[in-house]
Amino acid sequence: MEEAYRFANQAALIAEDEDFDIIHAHDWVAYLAGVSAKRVSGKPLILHVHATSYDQAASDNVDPGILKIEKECFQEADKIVTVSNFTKDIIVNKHGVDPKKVEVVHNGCDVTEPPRHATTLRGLKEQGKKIILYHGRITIQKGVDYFVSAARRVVDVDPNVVFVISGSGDMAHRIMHQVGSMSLSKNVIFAGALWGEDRDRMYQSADLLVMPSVSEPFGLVPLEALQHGTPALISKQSGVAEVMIHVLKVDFWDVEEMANKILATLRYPVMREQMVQEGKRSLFTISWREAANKVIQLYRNLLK
Amino acid sequence: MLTVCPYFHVHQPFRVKRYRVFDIGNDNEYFNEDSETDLNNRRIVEKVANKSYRPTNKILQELLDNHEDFRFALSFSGTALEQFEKYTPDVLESFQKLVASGRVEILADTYHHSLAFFYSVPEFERQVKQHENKIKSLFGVTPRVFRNTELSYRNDLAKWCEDNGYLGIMAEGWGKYLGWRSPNFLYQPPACGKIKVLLKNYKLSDDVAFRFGNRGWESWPLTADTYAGWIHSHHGNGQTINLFMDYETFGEHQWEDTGIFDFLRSLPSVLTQHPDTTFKTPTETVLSYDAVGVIDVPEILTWADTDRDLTAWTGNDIQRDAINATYGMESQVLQTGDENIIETWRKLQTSDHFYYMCTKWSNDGDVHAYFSPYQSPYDAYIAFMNALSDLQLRVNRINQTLVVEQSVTDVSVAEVEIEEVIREKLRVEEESEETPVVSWWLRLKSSLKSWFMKIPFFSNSRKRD
Repeated sequence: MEEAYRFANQAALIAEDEDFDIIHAHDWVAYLAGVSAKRVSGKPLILHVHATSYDQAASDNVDPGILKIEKECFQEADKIVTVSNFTKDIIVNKHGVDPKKVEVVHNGCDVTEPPRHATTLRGLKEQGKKIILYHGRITIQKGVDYFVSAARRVVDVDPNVVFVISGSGDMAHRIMHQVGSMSLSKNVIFAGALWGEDRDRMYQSADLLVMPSVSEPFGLVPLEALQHGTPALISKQSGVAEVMIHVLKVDFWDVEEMANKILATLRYPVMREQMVQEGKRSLFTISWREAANKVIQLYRNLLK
Repeated sequence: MLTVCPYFHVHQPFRVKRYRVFDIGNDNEYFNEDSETDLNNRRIVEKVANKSYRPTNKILQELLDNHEDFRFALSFSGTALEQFEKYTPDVLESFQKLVASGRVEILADTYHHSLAFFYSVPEFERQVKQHENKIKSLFGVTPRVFRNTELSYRNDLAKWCEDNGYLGIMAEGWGKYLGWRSPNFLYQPPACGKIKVLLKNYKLSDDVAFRFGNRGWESWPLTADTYAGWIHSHHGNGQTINLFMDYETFGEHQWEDTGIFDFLRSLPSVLTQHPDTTFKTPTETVLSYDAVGVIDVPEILTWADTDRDLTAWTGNDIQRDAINATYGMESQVLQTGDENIIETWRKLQTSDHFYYMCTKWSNDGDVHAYFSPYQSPYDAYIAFMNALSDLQLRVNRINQTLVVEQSVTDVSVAEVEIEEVIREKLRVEEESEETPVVSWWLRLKSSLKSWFMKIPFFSNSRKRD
């Protein structure tokens, strides 16, 4: 929090000295800096929302300090960019922002073909086990507890399925406890936080990636998984659900349906292949270039 | 002389409910969704009845009563008729009343609105027969002109129709096969001598079916006078204007507030103001005019999308997987001899199930999204394949029983109760050779050994020993 105010002071100083046309500030830590630069320079301000205090907290226990900064800065901004309609709805309904002020610019994704790695968890694969992957922070926002509940339902039908949880976070302890109490220790693996090649290897080894987020402004993980040739099941409470057709979608709380779709993916390989093939092709329509063009257009309109 | 041949297609599928993997083996009902979603068949039929069937039939009845020249054709899928009988009997009665006028022709079709002709001709023939029986019993008539699901057509289908006594068959008047020629005449399929093809004038048909309510269309708002003028302009260069469209155009695809009902109400009188313009049913059309040339359609032609082919039903891998899995079960399903199983399998052949799995997200894709009760093509595929898996399980169960019954009767072991053999068969699965078994079973087993070894179940259990 202090950091945000320090940024604001510095931004005011810089804005006094430098020559520029537009202020574009990303995420709440930079909002105050954007606002003070605007006050000093009188230039138009764009705030770019990648997440809100409501996402982090999954709607409970919203940090009042951050919420206050968000609300006040949104009032001062000339334009607000959100990474999805999902996030636009949040700032309109929760922060009271005028919807006309908000522009949605979906994130893009990198479309270079990643190198293939030798599979990880080879022992399990050789035994014919199927791997369902969660990759992300283990926090209340991410819905890992719903993932574990779905795992229980899946394993009841098909004990041959292994669920890998890759990531760390303040809820990890609670999730481990849940795995134990649901007697899932044999079927759930905690891989820790994986990065770089280890993470890519895991993407490539998985049969399905699940992103069960309770509230996800965008969500790049399913796009990354697709690039690595793995289809995804994502929660409807995510921004990326607005731009992805070739994924399975489910309400994060609908554990029964989540389990149904996990099992269906394993039962029907033709569907899995089509989701990957057509999904990869569709990634080209979700490019960073298109996102950049939209932002440039926004700049032009503000400068008119 | 120019005649107008209107034809409206009435169809409702039995949509598969959200059937989950967990339901396989536990739930034999696939079409009984009772939530307030668009998968609830009763709800949809009642909704469309209010928006389309009831008000449109009322207008059509008035038109028949007031214009002695007015006539048209209807086609019904058996799946729609069944649902009218079940959910909205008054709608069925109003259709029966229209047909009783003698000026409304009913066309032949497959009962299940399926693509069976392209996957199994014998199955197709059974569905056409079933349809004919249904039409006969509900309307007291026998169709003489054929139309196939989604107006799908090919040379060999026309040949089949000729061989089976139909006078005419309907197809899309598509430029790819017509070339410079006009759809406003009758044509003959190659290798056929008698049957004639009625070609849909897709420009004039789609002006009503697709464009009528489109405010961005240059001819919006379309009046009956303007439209009649377009039709009259074909005097001298055509004989029949074939206007083929979904019945649900009236009130469902084009809502009441577009003015579609007023348009329909006034069209016949405006059209027949021209002294040389009147209406004909398809059979009358076929009997009135000669074919002016041969139309050669070696590949499947439909009335769908801009492609006019089957790609909306079989264009992607999940669609092909689902449809091939369905038709792949044919001999096993028929072997059961179980009417309920066979009928359920046929209801799964309805083309709509495959249409919902379409992923052509171009301009056409929007139409598909609009007509699908599922949230995604993958949701449609999962529900369908789960239901089909359950059906396969039921089929296997019955056929296994039949195989055992068959082998027992073959060797005439009359004193052995069939049920007991089956029960024993199930028990043996759990037991090994060493477990003591009743002596009669050993005697029976040795005497029947050669027979039982033909059954995969027994050869497997031996391997385990």
